[in-house]
Amino acid sequence: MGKKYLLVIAITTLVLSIIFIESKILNSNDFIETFASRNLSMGSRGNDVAELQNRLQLVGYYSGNIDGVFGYQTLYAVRKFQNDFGIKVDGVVGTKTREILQNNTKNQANKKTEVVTEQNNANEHFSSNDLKLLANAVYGESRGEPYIGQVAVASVVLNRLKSETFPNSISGVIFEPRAFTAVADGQIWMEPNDTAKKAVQDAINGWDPTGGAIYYFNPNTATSGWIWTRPQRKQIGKHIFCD
Amino acid sequence: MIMYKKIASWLLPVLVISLVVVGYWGYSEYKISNTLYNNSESQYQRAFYELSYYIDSVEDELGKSIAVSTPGQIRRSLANVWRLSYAAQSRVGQLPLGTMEFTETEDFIARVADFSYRAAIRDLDNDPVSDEEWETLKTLYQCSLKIQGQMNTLHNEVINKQLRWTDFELNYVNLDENIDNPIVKNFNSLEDEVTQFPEVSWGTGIDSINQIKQEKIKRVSNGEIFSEKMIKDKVVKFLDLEPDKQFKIIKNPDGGEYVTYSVYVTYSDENIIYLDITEVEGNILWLLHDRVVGKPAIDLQEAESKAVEYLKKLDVENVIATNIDDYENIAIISFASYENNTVIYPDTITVKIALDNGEIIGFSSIEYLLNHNKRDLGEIKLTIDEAKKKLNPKLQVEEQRLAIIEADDGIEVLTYEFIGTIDENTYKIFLNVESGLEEKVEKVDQIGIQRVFNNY
Repeated sequence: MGKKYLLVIAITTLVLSIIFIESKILNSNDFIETFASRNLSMGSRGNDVAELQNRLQLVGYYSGNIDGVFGYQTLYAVRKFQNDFGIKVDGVVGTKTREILQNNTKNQANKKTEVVTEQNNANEHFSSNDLKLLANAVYGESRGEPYIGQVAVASVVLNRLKSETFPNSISGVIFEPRAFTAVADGQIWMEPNDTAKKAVQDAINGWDPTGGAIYYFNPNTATSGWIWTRPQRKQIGKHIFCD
Repeated sequence: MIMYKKIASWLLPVLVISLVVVGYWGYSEYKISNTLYNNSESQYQRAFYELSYYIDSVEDELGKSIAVSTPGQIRRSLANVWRLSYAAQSRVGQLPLGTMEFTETEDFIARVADFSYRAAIRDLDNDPVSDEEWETLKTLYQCSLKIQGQMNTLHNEVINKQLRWTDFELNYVNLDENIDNPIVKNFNSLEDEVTQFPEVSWGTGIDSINQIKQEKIKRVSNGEIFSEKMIKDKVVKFLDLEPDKQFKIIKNPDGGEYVTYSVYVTYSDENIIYLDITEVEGNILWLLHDRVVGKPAIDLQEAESKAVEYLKKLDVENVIATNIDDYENIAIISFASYENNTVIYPDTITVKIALDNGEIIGFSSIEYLLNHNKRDLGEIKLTIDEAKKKLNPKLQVEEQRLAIIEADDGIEVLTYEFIGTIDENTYKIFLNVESGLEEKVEKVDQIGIQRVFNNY
């Protein structure tokens, strides 16, 4: 009896460890798989781009950061590589470019490339921390609202940045005393969900459902009479957006 | 009786002890809230004192600027006016003024900052301060004296009557009603004073930007007015909706510059199409399709050609991708008009593509609609090689082409666009084709905007 149990345990362990190892191999295959499958071009992101950058660096064409973002530096490196190796110079890493690059970095590029995440300089105006703060504000102010209403709240903050009569930074606008109730009652410090983050992304990418509004209020709870005198642009969910 | 006595004998100490405990708790709560009160008050007082200081200094520097004559001194004065008024603006944003009417004054300070900045960065050696600008500076000085006077009165009152900004914040929730409070009164009279300021000639700057904006708005507000029925038909056709598909359409108030309708097409809670469409000509300003996007199945080049195909539906042709970015299974591609081998940056249209099936799940064409028109821009006087010589010699130029951009004053200019690198950084430099001046320099970061959320 005891022996049988032992055998069962041994077999189970063996099977489990095989599955475990297999899945590990599969995972790393996945990684190579992605590099081998999709075409990479300007704007691509991911570990496959990092691997591309790594390989280009090994052959001396790329000196920038291995950041997994196919930007101008990567583009120019790819073009030079294509030019030197007689491939059509289109800046796109397709089957042919990939093959030649892999052949030239055969024994060197086996190590897995890790993407170095950089937090600074999210775009010309905002840092990633600013955007996180904006997502916090959107979540604190409008989490029960329809998606488009959340994009609208983010847009109001961004519109205030452009206005002469408001502070010139995201934090300045959000923390202006009396500006947002979520700041006053601390709801801004709740962890925002994906919807709020998505809404912030759409707003910074240029979608402004408010058409340039710099105020909004809830008509059921607004205590100020002044806010009603502002020219209104539209109502989304519970909020009226105005100038 | 004995029982009551017994109870009383232990109840009394319990009561005493709980009284002591509650008393201690209350006292420490009071101490904490008192500390917080003082902290908040010091922040407000500091912002207020600094505001007064900066307004004093703006007055001082403006006074100097009308007296000095060498370009170097004028530049120094104007740069100081700009710096100090900018600082004053930021202190205003730190005070609990809320919705109190203060916009005229803020606007005025912003204009002073803008005017002095534009004059200070100009080549004053070749283009000295004109008589008109000197008059403007003189008027601004007179105005700043009045603002300073009013601020001074308020400041004295705050000190003499021991006014507390924190009390002001707590006691007056609505600042728009008639409140008998020295802070409100003084701010109101300051605001009144500013509205009575004489007309100031601001030169190019805010005014010209506003004027250009009005011209742009005409492009979307002149034309045939569509009825609600026509708008509905257009939406059904554009989105290819089934004839019996119900959707919500709302006419927005005409508070904005042009009347729009908002359309909501709901398939489920997680699958909704939102769009705004103008009443004039029924132009779709933007569309967002909020839905779950699955694993990527197409690459960015396919995404780009899908987007170009889609833009034809909007009568947008001859475009070039100016920025491509992907994040979380979505590609965001910005396009600009491309005519006569020239990139026309103001005609921007941004498209959002779901990489799971290549469907377009959003676009924003407001900028395109506002800017797109027949252009007749200055002639090319410099050859591209001549222009190239004017670049920073350390810049390794990788690409060059013609481009129309909006300069700082909002006016469109024809430029040579050079994209190049210095060490690890990439730059876009725009040189005026007539004068060879650097109209605009951008540092192009490799890291796009969307990436930030990976760090959550």
